[in-house]
Amino acid sequence: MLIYLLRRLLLAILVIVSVSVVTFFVARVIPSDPAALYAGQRPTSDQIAAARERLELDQPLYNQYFRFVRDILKGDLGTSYKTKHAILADIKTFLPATLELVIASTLMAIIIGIPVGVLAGAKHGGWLDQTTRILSIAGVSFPTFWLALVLQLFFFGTLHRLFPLSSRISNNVALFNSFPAVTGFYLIDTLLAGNFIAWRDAVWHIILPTLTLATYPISLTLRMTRAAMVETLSEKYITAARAQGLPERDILFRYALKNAIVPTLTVLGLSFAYSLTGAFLVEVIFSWPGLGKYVTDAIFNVDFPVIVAVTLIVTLFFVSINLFVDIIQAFLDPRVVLR
Amino acid sequence: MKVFTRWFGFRFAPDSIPAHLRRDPLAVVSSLIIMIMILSAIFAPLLTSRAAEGLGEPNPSEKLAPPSAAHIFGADHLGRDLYARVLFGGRTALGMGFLIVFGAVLIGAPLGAIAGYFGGWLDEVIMRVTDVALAFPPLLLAIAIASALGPNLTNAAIAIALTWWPWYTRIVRAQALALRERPFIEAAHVIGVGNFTIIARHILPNVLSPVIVQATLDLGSAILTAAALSFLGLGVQPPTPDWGQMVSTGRIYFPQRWWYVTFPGTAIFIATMAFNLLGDSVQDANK
Repeated sequence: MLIYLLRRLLLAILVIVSVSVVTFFVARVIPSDPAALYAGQRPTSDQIAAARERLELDQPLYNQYFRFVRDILKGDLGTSYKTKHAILADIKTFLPATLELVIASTLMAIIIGIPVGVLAGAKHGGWLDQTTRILSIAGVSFPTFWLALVLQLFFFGTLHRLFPLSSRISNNVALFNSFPAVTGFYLIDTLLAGNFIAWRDAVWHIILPTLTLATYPISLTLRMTRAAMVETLSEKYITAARAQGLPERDILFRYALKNAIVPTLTVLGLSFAYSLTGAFLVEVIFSWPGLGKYVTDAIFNVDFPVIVAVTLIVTLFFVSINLFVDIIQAFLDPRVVLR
Repeated sequence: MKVFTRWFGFRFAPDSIPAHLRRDPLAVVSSLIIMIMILSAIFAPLLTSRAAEGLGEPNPSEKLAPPSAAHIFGADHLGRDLYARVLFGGRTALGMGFLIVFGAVLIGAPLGAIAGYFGGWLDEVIMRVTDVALAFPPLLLAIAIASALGPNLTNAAIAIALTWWPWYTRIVRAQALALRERPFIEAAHVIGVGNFTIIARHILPNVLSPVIVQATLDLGSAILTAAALSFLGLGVQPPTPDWGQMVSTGRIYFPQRWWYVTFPGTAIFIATMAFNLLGDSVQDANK
């Protein structure tokens, strides 16, 4: 067990080191001339030379890399070429918005995906199984950005402006019912402030983006739970429980699910990590002020330091979540250690 | 986007597929859709009288015309017939899909064959690199690479393929491990054929069929990811017709001109769904 955990930890560290190398190359080596980008539009050759010195591009490559790593370790993610803001501060404001969205959609995947998956697996080949099969394949086939537009058309156009189309909160609510930013999660901050008008408004705003983002994890969770249930239900101890005359509901949700949940947890962890990047497309459409909006603006402005910093941060999350899932899995099902 | 097809732990036995698939109506339907898509991409110029508009020639007099008999899908912001654009966009989408998967196989398969055939420390190193590569968030890495290389069709395909190859390394390695023990490989070895000749001549051809099956099934995810990059402005550039880029441009005119995003978006959805459905049926047939 200990060796397994150490191996996992080592791999995670290896990943983080290679991420720093890859992002370094993306930022400093591939672009034709970072100094020209930094100097802004139509720079003079003096400006470019000054920028080159400032960015230390005249140093040997390995020196540049060590400086890059040193700055990151000091918590300095650099400054945006475009706005000249410190990127770390920017990320601190944008990250909670993305996390709020991703957590909400993961919760949705748990609430919908697991129970429906259990029921579909219970009647293997039944109508629910067939229907959810097609629905969940459709769910992973939707281009996120297009699903967002369809939902907007349906809920805003057809259902008479039931849900708002963009941003995290209405302007007038932000103006007249403002609340202090404590966690950066609006759903939590509004509750902490006891501001229910703003809370309701924030809930209303998060529904459509969450629904869009959750389609993929719901489908994934559902299919995984179903597959694991089909397998678990064929075990002998389930037959024994049935022979004892235990109620079907207890068999499904108490005995079978407990064993079927392990692969589902892995998928949930994975889809949480995937959703961090999936959220980018959703944020663009719903003007959700998160990391995705931040990075797409950076793409538009060819603002490499921002793209690199976001890649680095999200990969850190990605790796930590995977590590966390591996550890949980090893505790829940010691057999994985032996594989 | 690839997790879905990966999480069912399936193995391929291509010989057994057709008989099972014929019994599965979804497999028949999805294969039909895929065939229609491929044929209409190949014969696109014959299926529309507005091929020039499909390839990008503007037609300002019919700017944003709603769907009608003349334009069954309506027209875009430059007056181009959207039916023709979507039709020619199919070429881009399928082409991108093939390019991505082909690139990933080209990187991944030889690495897998080397790892599986030689074993030992080489295997250990290649597989750890594979683990690391799989630990990157794929879309984000593709975004970073595509923006560094500069946005165009080939670079987007390269960027995505660079996040995709490890899956093929894993498949091919598993196959190569088994092949290594087979008598004909041993025989080649004994008569003095070199290691790399064995890999190129005997291992790779024998792992080709599971790789091809897997590659076909991956086309759906490849098309979806390519569309996402194009939507972000990092993929195919105008005037080349591309579904993701059409949705991205059409978004400005949404929801008043709903047709601009609806038809290309539906095309992405149908293409991806068809490949995913077929993939799901193939997995079922192999259980």
